[in-house]
This record gives sequence, C-alpha cells and structure tokens, in this order.
Amino acid sequence: MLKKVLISAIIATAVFAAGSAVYAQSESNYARNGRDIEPVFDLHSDKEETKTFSKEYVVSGNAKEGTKVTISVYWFSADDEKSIIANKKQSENSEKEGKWILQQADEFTVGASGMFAETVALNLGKNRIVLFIIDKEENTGEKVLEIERSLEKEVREEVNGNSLNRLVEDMSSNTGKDK
Amino acid sequence: MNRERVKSVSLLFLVILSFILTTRIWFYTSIEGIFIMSGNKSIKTDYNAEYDKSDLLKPHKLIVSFGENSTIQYDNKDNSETYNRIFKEAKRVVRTAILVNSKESVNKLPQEELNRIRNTRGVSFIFHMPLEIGAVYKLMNISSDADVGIKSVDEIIVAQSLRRLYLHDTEQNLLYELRTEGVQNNLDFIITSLEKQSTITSLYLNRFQPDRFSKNAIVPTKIGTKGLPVLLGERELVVDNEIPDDIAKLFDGDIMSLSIIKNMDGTIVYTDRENRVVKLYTNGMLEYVDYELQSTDYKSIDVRSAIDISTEFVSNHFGFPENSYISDIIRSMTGNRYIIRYRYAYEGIPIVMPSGTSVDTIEVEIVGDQVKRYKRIIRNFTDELETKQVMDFIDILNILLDSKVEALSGEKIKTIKDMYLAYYERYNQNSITYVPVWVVDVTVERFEKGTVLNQRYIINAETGIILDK
Repeated sequence: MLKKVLISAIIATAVFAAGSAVYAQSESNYARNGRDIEPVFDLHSDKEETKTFSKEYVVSGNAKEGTKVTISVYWFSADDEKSIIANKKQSENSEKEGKWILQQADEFTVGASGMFAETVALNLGKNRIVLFIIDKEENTGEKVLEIERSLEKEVREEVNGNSLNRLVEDMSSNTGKDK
Repeated sequence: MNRERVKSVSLLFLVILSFILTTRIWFYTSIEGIFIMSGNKSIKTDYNAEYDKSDLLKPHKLIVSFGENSTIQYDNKDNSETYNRIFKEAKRVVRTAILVNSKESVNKLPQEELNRIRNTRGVSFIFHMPLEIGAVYKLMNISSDADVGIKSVDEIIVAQSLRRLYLHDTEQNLLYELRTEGVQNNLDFIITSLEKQSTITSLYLNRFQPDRFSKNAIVPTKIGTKGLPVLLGERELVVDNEIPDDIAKLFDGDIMSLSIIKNMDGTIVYTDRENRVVKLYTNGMLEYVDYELQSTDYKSIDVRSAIDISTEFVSNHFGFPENSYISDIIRSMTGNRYIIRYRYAYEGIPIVMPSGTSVDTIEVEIVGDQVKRYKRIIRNFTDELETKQVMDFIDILNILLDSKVEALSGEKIKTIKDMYLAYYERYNQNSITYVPVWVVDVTVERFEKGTVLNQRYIINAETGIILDK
C-alpha cells in the first residue's frame, strides 16, 4: 500500500516538474543574452496571479515592430477529475495531483502600432498563459501568468465562508416563504 | 329572468375589464383610446411631438467597468434593453447627485486620477466633444442654480464602487467629485448581471502608449464573429411635382408665394423670393437658410436656449431619426451664434458621411433666438445586405501607422484622438449603401510645411483600405 502511495507521489511530482520545466527559463520580460537589459516587451496585463469569472482574458502589451509573440495557454487538470465541467474542486487540489494540458497556442508578429492584444479562452479552474517573445535582434523574453477562473458561487464561498453563505441562503429562503 | 341575465353579463364584463386593466398596469402600458387619445404618438412616427431631450445626451461611448476589465455597450437589437437600463439608471444617478451636492461638498481632483477612477466598477459616458455644462444640465432637466463650478464636460463617470460621481472638465483639466451615497439605484445589480454575461472587453489605448493615444481612444478588443452587415439606404425625401409638406412648413405653410427653380446640377431650390431658401440637393441633402438673420444684429444667447430652439426646430421639421444624439455644440466667440450637430446610429453604430459632404447628419445654426441655417442628410435604411467580417482595431492601427501610408500621404500621425466603428456612405445614382468602417481621428504633421492639423481617416473595416480622409 505504502509502495503504491510512494510511486503515485513520485509520478505526480515528476509530471508537475515536467510541466513547470516549460516555464523555468524565465519569469521576466527582459533580454537574456546578457548584452543589454532593455525590455523586449511590456505587458499591459501583467499580474502574475489573477482570479476571474470571465471566460476570456486579454493578453496585451507593447513590443517593437517585427517582434514575434507566441502565446500558449495551459489548463490544469487534476488527476481525480475526469471532465472540465466537474472541476469545481480543483482549487482545493494540489498541483502535484494533476497535469498542465495545452489548450491553445497562437503566434503572431507585432505590426507598426507596436502593440499586441490577444484574447484567450479560459477554462474553469487554473489556467497558465505563457508568452514567449523574440524581437528582430533575437532578444527573447518570457512571462508566465496564472489565472484562475471560478464560478461566482465558489468565490463567494471563499470570501464569506460556507457557513455564512448557508445562513444567508437560509434567511433568504425563509423570507421567501414568509411572503 | 332578464334581470339575472343582465347581472351575469355585467359581472362578466367587470371581471374581463378588471383583468385587462390589471394586466395593463402590470405591463406598464396605456390603452389607446382609454387613457390616451389615438394619434398622439412619438416623434419617430409623426415627426411632430417633442423629442425626449434627455435621450439626446446619449454618449458617443457608453462604457461599463467591472474593475480591471471594461466593455463598450452598443444600443443594438440584442442589447437595447440592457443599454437603456444602464443609460437611464446612470443618468438618474448623475442627475440626483448634481442636485443634492452643493458647491462646498464638491471636490476637485487632478485629471491624472482619471485612470484610477476608470478602473473602479461603474459606468462612463464619453461624449464626442466636450459639452458645456449648461447643455448637460438642460438635457437632464436641471436648473442652472445647481452650479458647482464645472465649465465643460467630456466624460461622466458613475463610480459605483466608490459611491462617487466624477465629471471630467476638459476646459479646467479637472475632475469634479460628487458624492452619491444615499442615491438609491440598481447599478450594482445591472453591472453584476452584465459581468456574468459574455461581453467583449474594451481597451483604453492611452494606457499602452500615453504619448500616442488620447484618453478617449477606447476600443473593443474584437468584433463579434457575426460581423456587420452592409446597409441599403434611400433618400429621406423624394421630390415629385408637389411641394412636400415638410418643405412647406419651413415657409410657415405659405406655398402660394413660393418659387421653385431646378438648377443644372439637379438641385431644386424653393424660395419665397425674400429671405428664405430651401435647397434640395441630388444626394438628398436638405439645406434651409434664412438670409434675413445676421449675427451682428443679435445679443448673445445661452446654450440652454440654443438647445431648446434647435431641438424644437428639428422636431417640427422632419424630426429626429431613431437613436439620435447631440454630437457637437459650437459657440461663436461673440456668443450670439451656436451650431448644434446631431448624429444618429444604426444598431448603435454611428453613421458618417464622406468628407466632401458638408454635414454628417443634422446641423442647426442658431443666431439670436432663431434658426438661420438647417442642414440634414438622413437615410431610411431599407435592407441589410451581405455581412462583412470586421478587422480588429490592432490590424487597422498596423495599417494606418505603417511607413508606406506615411510615405504616400506625406504626413506623420502624431496622436490618435479617437477610434470607433461606424457606417460610411457609398453613394451613387442607383444605390446608397453603408459599409462598416473604422473611423480614426488623428492629428498629423505635414512633412512639407511641418504644420499640425486634425485629420479623420476612414478605413474599410473588412479590407483595411483607406476610403477617405
């Protein structure tokens, strides 16, 4: 039994480590080649961790003309969840118990406006957006954003606590009955 | 026996009547012929009733902010109910806040605070051009006594989460802060409901490149996959042998003394051979001029009177098309002459005319307390033709800011003041169509002389071809 648990833990750790290795290079948007520290891009929506109800997220920023931007979106799939619909409990699970699955990958070149804005779809639960940017001089930059899409009810529970919610719901249902 | 029958019939009648009246009350509608007399319908059908002035305050851009994200709302078929609920509720909060705040309770903030305020949950009205505060008060039916020191307004923000109202005064570069605590409203509920729906995020472009974009350059990040249809329009006024009633009304109904002249270019001129002339151009534009009125003869008037005169005049002469709003109010230096321009929209998207046309939609010039000139070019939209996919704002900017455009035009775009979707008229003798375009208002610097001037680029939203500037 103990063996099984240990093997599972090792596999989970290995899967998680492999997933995060993709982002291990850099979390900054600065050039890596050591020649300069001029930013390759300037991300407008640069909060590294965000919670949202929205089904979409706009990744936007400034970069020099001719810069290539690759946006990859990953979704965290918990091992004990079989479908996207049933992933309500994801936030409670540790990352060790699941894997990051590529959902969307787009590549485009920044034009004369020096701006980019790309809308990406978010799944319920944890989403990871990885931007890889390379400019004309081959300076590179990378940024990882983690966005958790929640249902409104989940967030309310997180903020107010389950018991308080239940109390409010009970009160409102009683008021409804009284009427 | 008969008596019983009468009783039964009366009872049945009363039950039916009570049922009808109750449902009418529920649905909040009047029954024509009982509560209102037939024929007393809105301006849009009979062109005579007074237009609801507060509707003319409809903003150029209505933005709902959810905090970090925001969305532009369009008054179209699918969204009309939501749009009007937001517009009316926000307008009510603005009106109440202006009435309950005294001059002493109003704070003045530097306009650098604007971005922070725009990031709070609330509703913003962004006007096409700054409006004199008197005009805003007039359109909201607020007396001039409620003066809190504001001069002109180009944006109103109902910052619901802060329980504050902000009016951006471009003349003084200040934000006026008014308190809205205690002003009962449903905005929280409306904003939350909207947030749960699938809305398109909008971006404030000045946050990307503050030196290049002005604060009103706000755009939707993408356009719905449905695209936008090309519209088929027809002239509002088609002339035959008889003098149209609406033209006769411009001469106070006196058609006996009217002369009608047909020019070589096809323009028809109606004149009383004294002071008043109406020209009906071949493209359907109507122009009325009263040559008797000279601006030097009249004392100055205020913007409130100018709006009254102008709105009443338009209401009485052809009326307002649906979804009209005031776009510009221009006052002469001497203060005795006003030009008020109106725009209208189809499905929430404004109509723009080619740059050669002397008027976008409706323009009224007021001298003293009378109308000196009235121009209008309105189309009745008869059909929606093929649907066009619309390019995103960023693709349009990439085209416009490309060095090839710079080389060909001989000018460099310095700042982008505004950017929005519109319908642009393609006119020919056989048909009038409207194509979806991106309008980009810019300031440019000419390479030859180094002069800086305002320019409007009109770009086909499907192909990215510059159609007009």
